[in-house]
Amino acid sequence: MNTNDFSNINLVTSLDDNIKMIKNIFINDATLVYRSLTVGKSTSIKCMLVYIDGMANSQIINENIIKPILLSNIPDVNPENIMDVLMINLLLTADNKRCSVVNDIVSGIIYGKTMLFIDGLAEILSINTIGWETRTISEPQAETIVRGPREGFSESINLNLSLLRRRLINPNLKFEFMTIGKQTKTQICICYIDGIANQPIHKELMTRLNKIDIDGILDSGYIEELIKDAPYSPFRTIINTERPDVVAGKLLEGRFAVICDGTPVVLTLPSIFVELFQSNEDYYDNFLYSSFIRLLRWFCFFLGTSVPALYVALVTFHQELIPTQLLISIYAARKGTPFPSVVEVFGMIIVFEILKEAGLRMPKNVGGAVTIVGALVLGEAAVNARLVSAPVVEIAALTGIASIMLPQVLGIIVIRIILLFLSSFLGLYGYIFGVMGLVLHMMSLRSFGIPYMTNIPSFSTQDIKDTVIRAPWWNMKLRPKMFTKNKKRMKK
Amino acid sequence: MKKKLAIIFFIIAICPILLCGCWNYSEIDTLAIVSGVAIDKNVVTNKYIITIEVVTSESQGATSTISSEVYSSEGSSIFNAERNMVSKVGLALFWSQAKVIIISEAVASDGIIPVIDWIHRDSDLRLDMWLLISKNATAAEILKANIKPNQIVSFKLDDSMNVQKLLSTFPASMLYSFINGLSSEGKSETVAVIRNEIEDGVIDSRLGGSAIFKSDKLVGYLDESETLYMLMVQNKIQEGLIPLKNILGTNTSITLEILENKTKLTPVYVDGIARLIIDISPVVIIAEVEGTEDFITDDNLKILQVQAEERITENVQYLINKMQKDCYSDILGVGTIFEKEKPKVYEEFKNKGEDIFTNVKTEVNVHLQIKGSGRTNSPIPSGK
Repeated sequence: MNTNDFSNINLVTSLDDNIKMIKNIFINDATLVYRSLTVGKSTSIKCMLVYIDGMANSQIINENIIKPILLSNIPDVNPENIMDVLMINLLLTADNKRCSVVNDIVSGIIYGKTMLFIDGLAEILSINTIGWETRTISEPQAETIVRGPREGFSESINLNLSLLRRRLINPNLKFEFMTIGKQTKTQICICYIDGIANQPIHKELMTRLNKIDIDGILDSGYIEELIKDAPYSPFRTIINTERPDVVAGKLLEGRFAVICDGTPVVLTLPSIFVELFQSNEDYYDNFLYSSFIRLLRWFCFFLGTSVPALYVALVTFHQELIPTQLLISIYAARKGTPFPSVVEVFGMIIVFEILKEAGLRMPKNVGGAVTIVGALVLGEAAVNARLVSAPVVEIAALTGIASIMLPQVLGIIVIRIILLFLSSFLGLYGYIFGVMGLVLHMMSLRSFGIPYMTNIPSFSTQDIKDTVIRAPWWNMKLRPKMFTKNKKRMKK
Repeated sequence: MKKKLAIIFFIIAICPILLCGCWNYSEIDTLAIVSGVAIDKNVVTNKYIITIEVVTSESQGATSTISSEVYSSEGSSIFNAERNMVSKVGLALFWSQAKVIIISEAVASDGIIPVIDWIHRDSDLRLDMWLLISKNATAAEILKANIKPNQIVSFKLDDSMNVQKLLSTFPASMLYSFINGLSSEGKSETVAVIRNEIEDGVIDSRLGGSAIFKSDKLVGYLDESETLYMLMVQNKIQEGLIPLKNILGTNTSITLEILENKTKLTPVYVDGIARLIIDISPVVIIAEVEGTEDFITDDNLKILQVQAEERITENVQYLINKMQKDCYSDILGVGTIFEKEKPKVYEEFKNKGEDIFTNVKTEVNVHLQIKGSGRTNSPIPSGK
């Protein structure tokens, strides 16, 4: 069969027919193990254990399933009570369930569970014997911090849930499971704290998740793109993270988390613009230092988007706005270079992005060569060969570094290029039109019903406590009001 | 809907290029950055000679050095001459960064308005350029006196004008304040003077003194110390020095440094006589003592104060007399003061056709305050 959907197949009471059906589904699969047993000395009811070698833990199967069945004295059993006897009296495993849906049986076998087929029953026993290898908990490489916990999510959904539960010892922390993806049947889990999270958002989220119709989910990124509000925008309305403490913090504010099996990256939603500038370290460090770093990040957003555009606008359209000394320096540096300013700046930005991307993908042995090439290409040789002028190299480097400071705003390169071209057409006019368009777009974005630019235009002290600065913890008494009705964080 | 959006987007993107097409786009290296301009008149042909200093650079590899070049051209009017210049330089002239305009005394004596009208009108030039009059040379020679490589004369002049407040030996004459002053009736303008001096065979330019204008014609000069007192009366001094030589016949000379100054001019009209009371209140410190006599003791300080006040009064009175008798030029703004505070008197004098300034009696009161004497309060002892 070439389908992954078995809702039209049913179990029958004959063991041989069931096993034939399973063999038919798993054609040519040599990793499936079929172990026949008989239960009961006198009655000898035939059973068959089916599991996949490598996914199920064979030690558990041997010690806790086969051994008690074969070695213990089983009183008379008949097809009516054999299930109860096995589940309650005999098997040493902790998690046993009855099951009769073929879809669940197939998924269970593939996931590592052991299925016990019993002759004479149209129901099987599903035993949890999952024992495949998973990565140990390690610090995520993309989100390193100086102070704070160093645990990161791994690829197994159960391990991730346990990391989260440890931090939120609260029975109101709810996990809702779903399966998405027709071919992959990936398990995802939606987490939230009941009583803090907002019910309308929950409803909206479930509606969107149920509408997903795709063949495979390999990473939470697929889910992110399929459910997000503005798929064409350069700004994220759903943020991802690999750290359990970040997710726990966001759940406490009333947000939702979506954990996807097979990837350590967890989505948190809804998210607003201010979150792009927040990092979990801000909350662990001294609030004065954190406020300074936050201001620096806001400044870097401006640097990362606008500096090339402003440079081109000033140097090609509005030379009278530049202070004289700077103008002379730029003039001296530019004399003799062949390309117009726009081409220079654009070229340098592209080269920087190439270097950044190459640095990500290269194996460690080639690292040294790429660094040297980068320094040469962007630095000395280009300026000495009079291909580009030195101020342009500075501009490109500055704007590139500034955008690295904001890892969550990946769309910054698009904004940068668009503003660059607009300002090369019309100077500062073009830049201002571009900024106006950008602001209009940002103001109209919504993330699951919550305006994207919440708290930024407001001047009330309560709203700005966590945006440009980070107010000390004793001062942050209320939760963000858009996300939850349960506002009081602390007792007075 | 998506197609409509795409079409709108393309229209918005193409429109600017087709309609106005980067109308002001010019790369930096296609501009000749003018740093200063000098205006002379050719007496033979009666044409204006304009000399400009253009910033250039030479590059070797990655380093580049900045220097300047000087171009001249002639024309029947200033604008004419400027356009003739473009054919010599080869690039469009970029005036927005020009810092100084130097006018020769010959042109200034004939009337300065025909010269500065274009500068005042054209939107490219900035009105906060420094206006200078060149005294013993043609204005072009000031710009050409550039012996050091890598130095731009106009920027050096700009720096010198910026430290005017330390020296107070010439007024900080900007073009816009000169033009604004021209339109007011009761005050004449003064402009800084620049001249070339030869030191060790090297020609260098030096600022000092001021030129006095009556409406827009140059009528006279003041030297540096006279300019100091003029600035004092105009209440424009920030820092300056007053030297007192051989006080009371002793061998001690003291230099006082003015820290701040406040001047109040009060017009009085009694019995047909217009009088002006000038109250000058400088706050000074003793900056330098040459000699052995200690003037910093309490009694001697009073003597010093009286001496300084007398010196200032003397000099101010001399300046006013010179202005009233020789130049007939109201640089202290007496007319404006009377117009503001005693308008009827001003009207009266105007109807009679008399100039208030030449007929006013002045009374100068100086209230000097010696604030301190630097780090030590006695002269360096000697006599061992």
